[in-house]
Amino acid sequence: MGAMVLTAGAAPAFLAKPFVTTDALNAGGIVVSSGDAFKQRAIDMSQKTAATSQGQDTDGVAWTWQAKQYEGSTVAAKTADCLALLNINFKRFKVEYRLNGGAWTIFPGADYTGADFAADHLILPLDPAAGVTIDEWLVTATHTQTPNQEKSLGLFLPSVQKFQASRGTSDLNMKPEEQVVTVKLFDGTLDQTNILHNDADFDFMRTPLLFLAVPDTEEPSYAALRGDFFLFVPQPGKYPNQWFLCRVAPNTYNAAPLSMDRDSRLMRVALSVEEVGGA
Amino acid sequence: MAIAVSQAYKDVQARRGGKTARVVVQYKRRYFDTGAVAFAYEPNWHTLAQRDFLDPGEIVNQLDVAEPSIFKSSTVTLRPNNTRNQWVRSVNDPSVFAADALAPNGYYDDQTLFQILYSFLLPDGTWGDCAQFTGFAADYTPLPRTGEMQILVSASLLAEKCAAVKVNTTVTGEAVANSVVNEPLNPSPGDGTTAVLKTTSTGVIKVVNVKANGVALTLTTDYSVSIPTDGTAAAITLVSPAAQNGKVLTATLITKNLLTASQAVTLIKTVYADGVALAQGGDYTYALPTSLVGPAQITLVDPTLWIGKAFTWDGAKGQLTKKVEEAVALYCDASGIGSGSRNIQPVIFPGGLSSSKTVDTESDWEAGTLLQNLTTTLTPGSIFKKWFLIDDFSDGDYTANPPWTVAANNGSVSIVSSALQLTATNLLTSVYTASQFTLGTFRYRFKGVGSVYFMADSNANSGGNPTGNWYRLTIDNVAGTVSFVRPFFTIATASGLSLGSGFNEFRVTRDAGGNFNVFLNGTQIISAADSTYSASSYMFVVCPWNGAGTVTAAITDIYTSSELDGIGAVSGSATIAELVFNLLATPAALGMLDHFEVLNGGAVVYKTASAPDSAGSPGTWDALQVLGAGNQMASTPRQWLKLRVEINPGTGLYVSPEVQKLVAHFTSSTVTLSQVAPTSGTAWDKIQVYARMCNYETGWDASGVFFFRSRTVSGAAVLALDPWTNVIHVDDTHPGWDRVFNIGHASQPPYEYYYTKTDAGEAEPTSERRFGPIQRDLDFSGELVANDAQIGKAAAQTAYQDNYRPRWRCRAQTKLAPWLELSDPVTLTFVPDRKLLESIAGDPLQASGFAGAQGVALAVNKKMKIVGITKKLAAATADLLLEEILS
Repeated sequence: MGAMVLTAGAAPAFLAKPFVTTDALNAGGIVVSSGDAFKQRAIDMSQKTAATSQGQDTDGVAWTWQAKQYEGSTVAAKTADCLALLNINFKRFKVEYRLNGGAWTIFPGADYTGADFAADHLILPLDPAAGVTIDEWLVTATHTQTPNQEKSLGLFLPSVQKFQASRGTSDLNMKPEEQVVTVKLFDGTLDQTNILHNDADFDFMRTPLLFLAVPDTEEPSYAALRGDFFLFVPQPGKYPNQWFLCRVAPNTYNAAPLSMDRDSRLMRVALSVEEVGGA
Repeated sequence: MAIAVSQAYKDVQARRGGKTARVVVQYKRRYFDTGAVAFAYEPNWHTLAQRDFLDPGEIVNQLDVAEPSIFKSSTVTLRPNNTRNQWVRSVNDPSVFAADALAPNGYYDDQTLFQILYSFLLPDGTWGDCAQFTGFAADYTPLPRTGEMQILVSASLLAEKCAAVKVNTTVTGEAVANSVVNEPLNPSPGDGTTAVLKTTSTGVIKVVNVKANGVALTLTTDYSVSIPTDGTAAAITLVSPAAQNGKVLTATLITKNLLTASQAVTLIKTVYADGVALAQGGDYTYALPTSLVGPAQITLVDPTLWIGKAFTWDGAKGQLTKKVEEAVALYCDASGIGSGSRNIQPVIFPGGLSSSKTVDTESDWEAGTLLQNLTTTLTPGSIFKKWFLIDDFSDGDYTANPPWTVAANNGSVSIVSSALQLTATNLLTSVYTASQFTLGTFRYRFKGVGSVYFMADSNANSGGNPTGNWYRLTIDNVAGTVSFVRPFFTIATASGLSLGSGFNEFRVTRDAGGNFNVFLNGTQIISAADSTYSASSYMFVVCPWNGAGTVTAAITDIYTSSELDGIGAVSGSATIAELVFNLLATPAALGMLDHFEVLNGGAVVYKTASAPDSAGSPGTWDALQVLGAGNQMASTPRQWLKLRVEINPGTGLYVSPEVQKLVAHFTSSTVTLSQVAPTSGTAWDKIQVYARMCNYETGWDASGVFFFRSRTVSGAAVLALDPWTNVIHVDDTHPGWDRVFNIGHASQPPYEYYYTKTDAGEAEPTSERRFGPIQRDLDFSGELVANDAQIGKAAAQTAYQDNYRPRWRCRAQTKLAPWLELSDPVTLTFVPDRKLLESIAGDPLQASGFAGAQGVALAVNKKMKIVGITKKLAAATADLLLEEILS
């Protein structure tokens, strides 16, 4: 299997949950050169927030966001074959990694120190065979696309690719599940509170997926999604910024041979995925 | 009281929309610090990701719900994600409790500290946090079907689990106190002939400190001891019974009933005899002090086995004289609730406590700081002037103060060196003055040759010789003799005495049995019994003439005492007793000094002084003040109080006023416990008792800070509750009739206190007439309060005052105001019919329910106290149980 295709028209992609999680935050494993109060926003799975520098809004002044990978309270080395930096305003930057405190190495394709970067996201799927084992990351940004702004890193998602659907889904209806509480006071008026699941979002994405004519060899990949949380990219080409940390909604998974040809090796896979919130 | 939040936070809460909130659950883990040999919490909070926990459910806090002063501790159930068994304790990942650099052996799951915050996103983009609950993990229950760990979190866990006895201190190897001190022996005073004296106590196993008139005798030289093996009285055999004739003989005994030196003993773990452990039950039993501060008693089953042994004991004891707030702090310390995690208000008892200090026993008087020329033993429990000066001739005048009458002068009568000197050159020379000695001690200094008639019932004389009934000592310093004589009979004579030419001290003691003892310079020289005469109005001094030359006699320093005292120091000073008391805190007011005395023709002056505390001792005393009208103590109320008694016998009288009892009343606003010495229960149990006793409330606030505070609500309303801003509904209203108590009753053994409408002067119709007599009972039988404070009386009054009027109660469902806490004052406005709320001209305050029909409003700006609050964070609502605040 080669690297995922994440360009226009690509089918939904599924990746393992990101390697830098709240465990790193709790263990003190995330360090920034400024903006300490916002450093966790790079892992909160919100499309609306970002870890930002504070007072380092001059081009040429480096801002760093450094994170170790933790499982619980222990540093965990993992092999990454995909890295996504979403909602960034970097123009000159690089992403490095290392293992066991060794020398920093540029993650393949993540060096824009000598060239300008102009997009709001950088997604770097590698051939899985070329994955690198990592326990610590370092993002260094020196310039912003609009000059002299605070550096901003929306999401930092190192992961490992699971699989990409061979065909698009025929049923994608992303519906936000709002965390809105409404109280009706005795005079009949309403009082509304938006309960957030992270620093910015009070809704969770939930959508049914229907994959028709899935080769039966591919179906176990869908079935295995039920084991743990995973990153879901529903429309990699059209909306490359939309990465969700999801689970398969309980009791929604359904796989069956296509009825028109019981002997065929094609199946119909239906499931619903729902966002679970911050990493 | 209300949790402190910024105005910006409150402003966001007040919005109808556009407000953003989040619920945060954070925790701190506990680890064992092997270096400090103590558990410690990691320094920083860990925040649970939102997806890792479910709605914490309801956070319930209650106060006075079932009945007044019933405190309910709060618990919350958390259900974090446990799909990886991360909430199962392990030193390995993925356990939350896995080892790290701070805790190389991992963290302990029990008592993990959890905190729930409710935060609003403020206009400046920052989060404003408001703690909703803080507590310790008390139980973990895995829920495999849902992949969650159910964690029971309790705010009161530490105090609820802490055995109250932890406030006691360990005692190791403390020597037992002697059980009987200075017990009079039988017979006492010595009769001059009986050699074998018996103790009154039985079961004696050791005798020490045998004394005669308070002076220690020497074992072997003066006495020997025989301890019986049958448990009967011990015997003390005097080497020379005659030497102890008339002296008060006492001994200190160790009996089978051993007393601990420490008071407030809570545990006798082991008793040792000469370092060897005895068997409880087989060798000894023990009884702890129950309701009184005092020593524990260890009773030897067979005292004869332990004759002469030295006893020690191991165990535990409580602490003495602690203010209530100090006692609560002790229980907090024992529970691990440090000073930074508690807020204990000093107890200021509503209305003050009637307290007193009483002096009415011998030991009470003997604890005085100044005991000048008085006796505490003549009548135990009373004090008297001890020494009465008849004359010391220091004024150089024998004709006055008191006047001496020269009955015969055949030489000279003059004052020489402050002594009355008589000479006789042909016949005798004689003088007399008034004296009333009949019992007790007659004391004087004399030199030369002559007779001192220490008792004479008449001043009639013949040529200077008394002709009535009398007793005299005839002293001849040349012959070296002293004779004890009554008319026509020489009762006894001591001879071979070295009297010399100077002054010698003579004392004659006489008890009610007619036993006379004569002491020369402190040594008994005559012992005799004679009851022939018992009256006296005069004393004579006679200098005889022996037929040649000039005979000289001189006398001075003549004293009498009602007490038998052959050797004690003589004082010519005024009779003064001063007693000093530590009132343990500055009293609110000093009251009357009750005094009980028999004047016997004299007078007693009472004075007081006060001083501030200075490191546990009195500071500078202010001037003594005589009592004011109604025996009111006039000194400034301060922590230390001095009582002064000045006893002044009547002029010319030799009988002392008797002061029998003093009771100094004062009002204390603080409550001091005589002891903190629990033997059972938990720290939380004890703290609740104190809260009830002082009409305080106790619990834990949302930040996990323990509070012990007055239940009296003060200050402005924390929040206005009305249908336009916060109220969803109000229901479950009750008039509060079922919570009326109009008879306050408190039991504080041995007293029962009641407080009723009569005591309060309640206007008609009284509560009792309206609701019937309803009694609230309080029981303080388990607590002993210092200063004889009548806490029961004050509590009974409080029970009445707080409860004789009904308080309206209701349950209000409101939108969540996260900063509200128990006991917060709020105002409530509510009209049950929503239609009546429709405003007039858009002004909700002119809604018809209020503008035109006040009667339909349940409450209009009624001040209420929150006595119960249930916060439902996920629903952004709260259920408040409100109770009317009466003015």
